[in-house]
Amino acid sequence: MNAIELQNIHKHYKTTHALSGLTLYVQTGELFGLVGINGAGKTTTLSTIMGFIRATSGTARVLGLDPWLQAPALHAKVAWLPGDVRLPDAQTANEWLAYQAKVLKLEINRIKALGAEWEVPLNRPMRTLSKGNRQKVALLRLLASNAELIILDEPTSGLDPIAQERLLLTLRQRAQQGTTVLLSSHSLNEVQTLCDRIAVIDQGQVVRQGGVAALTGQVQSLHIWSQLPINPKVLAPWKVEHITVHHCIIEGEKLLEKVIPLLLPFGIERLEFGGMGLERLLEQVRQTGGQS
Amino acid sequence: MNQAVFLNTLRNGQIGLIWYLVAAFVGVAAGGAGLSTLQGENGVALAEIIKSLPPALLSAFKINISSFLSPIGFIASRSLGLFIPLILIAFAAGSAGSLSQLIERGTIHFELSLPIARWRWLLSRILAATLSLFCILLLITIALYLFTPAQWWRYGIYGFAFGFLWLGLAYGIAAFTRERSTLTTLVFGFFALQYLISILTSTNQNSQWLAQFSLWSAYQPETIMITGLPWWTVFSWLGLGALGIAVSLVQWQKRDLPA
Repeated sequence: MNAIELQNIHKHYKTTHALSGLTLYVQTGELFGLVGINGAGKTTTLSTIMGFIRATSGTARVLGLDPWLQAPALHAKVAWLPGDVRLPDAQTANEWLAYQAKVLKLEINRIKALGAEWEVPLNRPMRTLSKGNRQKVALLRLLASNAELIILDEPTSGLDPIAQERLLLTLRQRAQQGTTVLLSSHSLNEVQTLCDRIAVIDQGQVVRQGGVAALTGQVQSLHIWSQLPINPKVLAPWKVEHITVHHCIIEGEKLLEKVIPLLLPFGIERLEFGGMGLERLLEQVRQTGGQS
Repeated sequence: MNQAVFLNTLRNGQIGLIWYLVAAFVGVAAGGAGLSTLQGENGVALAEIIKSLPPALLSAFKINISSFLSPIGFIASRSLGLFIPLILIAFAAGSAGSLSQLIERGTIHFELSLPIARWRWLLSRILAATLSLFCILLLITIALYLFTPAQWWRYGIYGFAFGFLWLGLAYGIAAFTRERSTLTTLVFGFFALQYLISILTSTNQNSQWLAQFSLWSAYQPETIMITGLPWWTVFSWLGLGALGIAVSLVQWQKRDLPA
């Protein structure tokens, strides 16, 4: 069953097309990552999922509900963390969390216990808190809930490494308990280590979607060591990153099918395959404009 | 209405409200205390100064020479004629401005992600603002009773209707604007327009017909002290205020607020 279903979503503002036919499916209990360069449409996608904006066209269902028309019912099941955490300056974290707990029907004692665990100074006005501590205050609200769906936009921004690690561990545990986690992040390492599947968004569309390993692990480079000297002319059609007499590194697609037959006459002694990683995947998307 | 949102709005606005209450109380008390300055030569000298002012200015500031030197006329002209309505307009702009500030600063999305319908959330805030307005007018009414011989209860109702009109107007504008500065400019710009119409109609006989479109021309606290409450005006203002609030609730429900 899908926790999130976005089908052919378009979102047009007066002069810009923020989303142009975006289709995305996130399964229940899955750790799902959204990646893309700045302005790709990640935050607009999250805003659509949360019902903050109404899609110009297309169909959106989140936990079986229409996020625009049934927002209050949806928000009772969703915990959300914005990318840029802004909290009321004059209130203390305690006051704000007590208010949020009352509306969201959260246990205030649980929030306080989490506050102690995360070492958040709850009695100080929020204007005096550091960016990381404000982020932690917002996270307490999220972690204290028993939401079916957790949506996070840049969740580790401003957090110290220990808190980052703790958050990722907590999210993994929540996913194991059946909570769906949707994460948008610029920290590709974070997405790569945490998420089961990812979607790459570019120009308001999902241009790649699938398992992290499947998307980033495709053979993109070959290291070949040969018994005989390699004739560089044979490799002319390919992008040769490095070449010596008995060793070369070649980059490109469909290397196994096309390059290896050419190099067989030189006596292949050893082969190593290289994936591209998420950074390279994003770079490729940016260069090709989303075309595979 | 959502009780938690209502109480949180009151808590967040309590310091601002205290300032409005103090200003209103001091405004009326100072106006009442000023009555003693009208005795003897001071009163005559003041009358001379007033008579020398241009009629348009006297009209704009709601100074009626014939009644200015009477205790009721003095308090109505000095405090209720300009100072108190400005406080009420500033309160309305400030209250609706807090909504724009939430959008401007990005804190609105924590509120939007609560399991409450948008209109219900906004209505809770507006009701909290209305209660604050009521408190301001209650204090003004008490101050009128304590420090002046004015018809205190009449102004309590009249002033509340006037403040509610501006509250509705300010929230109606806030539902369409993103920045607090834009909202404040529009509210006080509208006030300035009303003021200009008032001056124009008092200086030019041919433009008298414009007076019906000026809220400032319609606001006559001195008259109500003498002739009684114009109930039609009071209900019109309450109705217009409610209309502004209804517009803001409808617009708020359908407004895109991207994160």
